[in-house]
Amino acid sequence: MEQAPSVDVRDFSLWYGNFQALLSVSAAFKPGIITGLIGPSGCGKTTLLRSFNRINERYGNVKTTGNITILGKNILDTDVSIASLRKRVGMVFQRPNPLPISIYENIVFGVKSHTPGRERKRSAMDQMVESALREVSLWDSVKDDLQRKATELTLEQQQKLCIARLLPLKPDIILMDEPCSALDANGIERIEELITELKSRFTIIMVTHNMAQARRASDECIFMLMGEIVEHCPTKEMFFNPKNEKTAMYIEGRYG
Amino acid sequence: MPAGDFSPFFCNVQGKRAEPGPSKLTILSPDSPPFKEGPLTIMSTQSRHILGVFEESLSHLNSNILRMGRQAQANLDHAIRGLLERNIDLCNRTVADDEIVDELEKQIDREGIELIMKFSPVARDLRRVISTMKAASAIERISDHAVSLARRARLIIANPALPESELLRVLGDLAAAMLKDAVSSFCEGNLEAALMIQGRDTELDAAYREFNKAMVLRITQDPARAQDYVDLLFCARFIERIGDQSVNVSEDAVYLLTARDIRHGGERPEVK
Repeated sequence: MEQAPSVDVRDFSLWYGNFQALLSVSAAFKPGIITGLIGPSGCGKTTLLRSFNRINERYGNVKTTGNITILGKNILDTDVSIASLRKRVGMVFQRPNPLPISIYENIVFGVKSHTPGRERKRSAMDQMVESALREVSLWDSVKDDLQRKATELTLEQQQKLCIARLLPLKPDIILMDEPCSALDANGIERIEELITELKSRFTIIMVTHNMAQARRASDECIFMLMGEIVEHCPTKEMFFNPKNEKTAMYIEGRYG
Repeated sequence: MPAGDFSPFFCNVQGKRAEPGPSKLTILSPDSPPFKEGPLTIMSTQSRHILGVFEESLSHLNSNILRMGRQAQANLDHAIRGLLERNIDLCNRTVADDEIVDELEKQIDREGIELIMKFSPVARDLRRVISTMKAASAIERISDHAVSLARRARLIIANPALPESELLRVLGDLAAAMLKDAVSSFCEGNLEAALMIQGRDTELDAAYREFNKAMVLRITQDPARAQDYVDLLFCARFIERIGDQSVNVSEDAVYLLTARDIRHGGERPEVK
């Protein structure tokens, strides 16, 4: 049985000023799997990703048409609270960006900003920090010094922390913008392994420039070119028998 | 109300989501008495790779080739016993069970391609995928020869007993042992055992030539049963071919273990 998509994009267009970055894009993202977004630079994959929690709007000159339905609600509607949207739709960036505060505070930061002070209990917070860090297998290496500044961790640990801090907010969707590009080969493998372990509970959408990573780590793949979706299919299909000639050219390294 | 759950329109998605992991086909439980062995010893592929899924796929490939090898051994055994014991059920079983081998071959190819596509394996991992796919193709041919043997056997045992059938036992035993050792050398990574298979094929070829001579003689002595002797000679020919294909499997094993291509007189690696 087909599962209902958790992110459903319909005829979505986006302009930066006069430049149209996305041309009437439609796609359905399934829960419980990792969907990879691939394509040459400037194809619109990051723009599409950033539309899902509306952080593109920070640029000011962004205009959109169409719908993006997340968990049954069009997130472009005027009555949508950006704060609650971003709580449901977490994001991990290219370069690990923990806040320059302690490991502990990084984890509870999100919850604190979503919960009034009197409802917060120290023991619950401690529990939350431990379970989030355990989930990203960071607990054992940092448990003895949770007050250490997060920016002192290795890049791999920082990126794990950036994933861990999303978890207490219980997001449904996690957006990843080249989450491994700042890491070395071992770091990449461990982050990929972590994402694979987490995926059954989330909808993970990952932009990557790395074809090998898309092949290894994603279940479905979307190939974009010049603001349009060219092909969306199971990753196995895309890398074994792509339907579109442009997709074939790109993944074979003959284009882009 | 859980902390911070103040958004009216973002309902939490509840319920377990099914893990879309690869479907693993289970075809065969090796139930043929003569081939009951201890627990599967899958060769560990050196140190454990960080990517568990990759490691798992590789060992799945290895256990499938072992299952395929054991099924081919069983098919050969049933065909030969069918002939010698004049048991048509055993012959029929060989013909039917060939399908299991065919399915495993397709599965190995599918998973091998997927492994290459997904993980771009290198070095020994790459050789493992390629040589497993090649060995699978050889074992599939072996099982086909067993089927041909079983079909001829059905013709022979439909006629009055043919004492010369017993001469085939030696050839059958030689080929069965070669096949068994070739498959286990491949799966367990035993270079020494793999390198010994080629020499044993020479022995099988010699036995086949002797058998051939005997049949030619019998045809001249007893032309009334010429057809049976010809069928028996065909049986011997299929067994001889199984020996050749077992050599191929052992050559794939050597390639996997040492990256050395010893086919057609290629230089053989030294055993430490």
